[in-house]
Amino acid sequence: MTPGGAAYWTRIAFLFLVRSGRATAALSVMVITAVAALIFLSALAVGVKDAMLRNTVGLFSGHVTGYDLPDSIQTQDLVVQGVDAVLKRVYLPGVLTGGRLSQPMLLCGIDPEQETAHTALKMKISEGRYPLTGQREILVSRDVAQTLGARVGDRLRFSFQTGGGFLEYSVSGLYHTGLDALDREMAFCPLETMPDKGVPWSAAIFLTGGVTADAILNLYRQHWPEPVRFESWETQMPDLRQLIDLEAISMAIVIFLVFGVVAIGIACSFVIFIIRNMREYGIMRAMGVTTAEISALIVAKVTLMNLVACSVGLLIGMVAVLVVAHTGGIDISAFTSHNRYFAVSGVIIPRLTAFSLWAPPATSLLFSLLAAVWPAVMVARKKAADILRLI
Amino acid sequence: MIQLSHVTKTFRSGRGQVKAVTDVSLSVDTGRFAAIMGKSGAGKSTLLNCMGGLEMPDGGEILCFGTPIHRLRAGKLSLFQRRHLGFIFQRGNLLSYLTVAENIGMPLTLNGIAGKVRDDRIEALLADIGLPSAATALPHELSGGETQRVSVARAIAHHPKLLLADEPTANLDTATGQRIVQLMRDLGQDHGCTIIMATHDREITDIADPIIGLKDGQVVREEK
Repeated sequence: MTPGGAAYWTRIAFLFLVRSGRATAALSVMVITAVAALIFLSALAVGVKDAMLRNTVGLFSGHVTGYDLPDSIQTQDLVVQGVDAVLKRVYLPGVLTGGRLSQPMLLCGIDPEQETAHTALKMKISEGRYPLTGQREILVSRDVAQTLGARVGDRLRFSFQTGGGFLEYSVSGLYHTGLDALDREMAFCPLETMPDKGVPWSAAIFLTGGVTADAILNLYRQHWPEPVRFESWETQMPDLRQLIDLEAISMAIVIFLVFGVVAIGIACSFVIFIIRNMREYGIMRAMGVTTAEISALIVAKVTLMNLVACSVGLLIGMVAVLVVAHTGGIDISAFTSHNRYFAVSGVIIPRLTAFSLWAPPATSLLFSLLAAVWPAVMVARKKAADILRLI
Repeated sequence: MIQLSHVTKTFRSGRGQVKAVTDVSLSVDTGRFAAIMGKSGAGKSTLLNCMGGLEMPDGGEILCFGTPIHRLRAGKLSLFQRRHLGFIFQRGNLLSYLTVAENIGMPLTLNGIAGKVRDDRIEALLADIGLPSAATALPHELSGGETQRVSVARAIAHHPKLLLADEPTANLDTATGQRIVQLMRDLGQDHGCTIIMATHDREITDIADPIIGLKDGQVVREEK
């Protein structure tokens, strides 16, 4: 290696890039655009997954559900680090009757104020309002109301499945979620209006961002063994889990293909960029520059340009993601209005992860270096005279 | 001394085999200014490239100051070239992205000459070629004659034993070409350098010795 070695060839590579201004700029723009676009695309894929999860668990169920909780456990007991809210719910099976029509129903006693604060069911109310705390009011789905021929303000009777008693409620509002479990089987009333029969209660537990359901589940299961049960949204909604996995695989294939096309584009551009100066490599060979030194020079050119271009692309991609995320995200409601996994909102908020941030620049650098191998090998294998004669 | 014994070089192409150099034997004494003369396609460049190790002969021997360069492996050949040889080509000699000073400085750096010694030598060479203020100029800012003057300076900057010039005046007008040849000879003689120049320019016969005539890859005459 030349005295001064790597530093000397790095300096020569730097001078080459700076003084080949237009070609360097054109290639840099390509790398910058590709890296920024791929970062945004990857962040968008993460955002789609987040939106599906947020929509589904945020509508009603929460990230973790506790079943068969005795009265000795209070909602506050379940509030641990990483838990945003715990909503108490009591379920009673029975029959809901309006006039001469009736339908089997699961009546869910709720705390209206907590529910409106932490769930998105309120956004799905198409007529009327949420039941008021302490009022003998019931929130039913639009489908149930149609089945029973009921409207807002009408009175409905709920007969308990066991015990033979009944309660009368005034319809406070109608909702429509598009989810069968909520639209056909459930109705909601304030907790205080339900008969106190010492029935076990359920908890809908909402987690703060970035906390995994498994971590909380493990904690709960250590404190409260069977028969108390805790389940994550993944167990409760295997269809959503599969859909998220499917979406992740589809997006991975798309991103891989886009990565591939972009990477090949970058690689081809680098090959042209290097071959354009092939004669100069021939001159250098004639001056006694070894093939190892020329390879080092080529790698230094590719690495230097990529480091700068990828850094700029990384910055632009990050800024684009942050700008979109902080200005309300991308609203695709027009395409999701009938999609139950976007029941609440069709807004996608792109989110950066370590993978979405580093995979595009790493891919660009990797393919560029691979692209540099061919010209480097070509320079190494060809005789200097051949290079000078042909180019 | 440069000695060639029965050197042969054949190229294979789609048109079959082309014998560029056939059984060439010659010698050039140290410190001489030799010219290889012949028409286009006579094999001048191929012979020059063989002498400099840019091309490997199919047969024969080439001794360059006692070193059989046709037997050197790539790495050792590169080191031999950077230490003992200087090349000047017909065109595109300079690295386009380096300044004149950086171009001249490259063979010095390659040979471990750095710092003030290198800077002083570059400055002296620029003065010698009549371009004292061109240090920071880029090659595209130079005329054809200036480019070749810088090429000469770069080729002899590290004081090589052998300077090989492949038609360095071909793209220049007669007066400029003569000045380049004069410059090569003067600078070469200053540093005890043997010069071998391929050309089809008859004007060179006045200053070159020996003159080697080449026709269809074979030496047809050798004048001393």
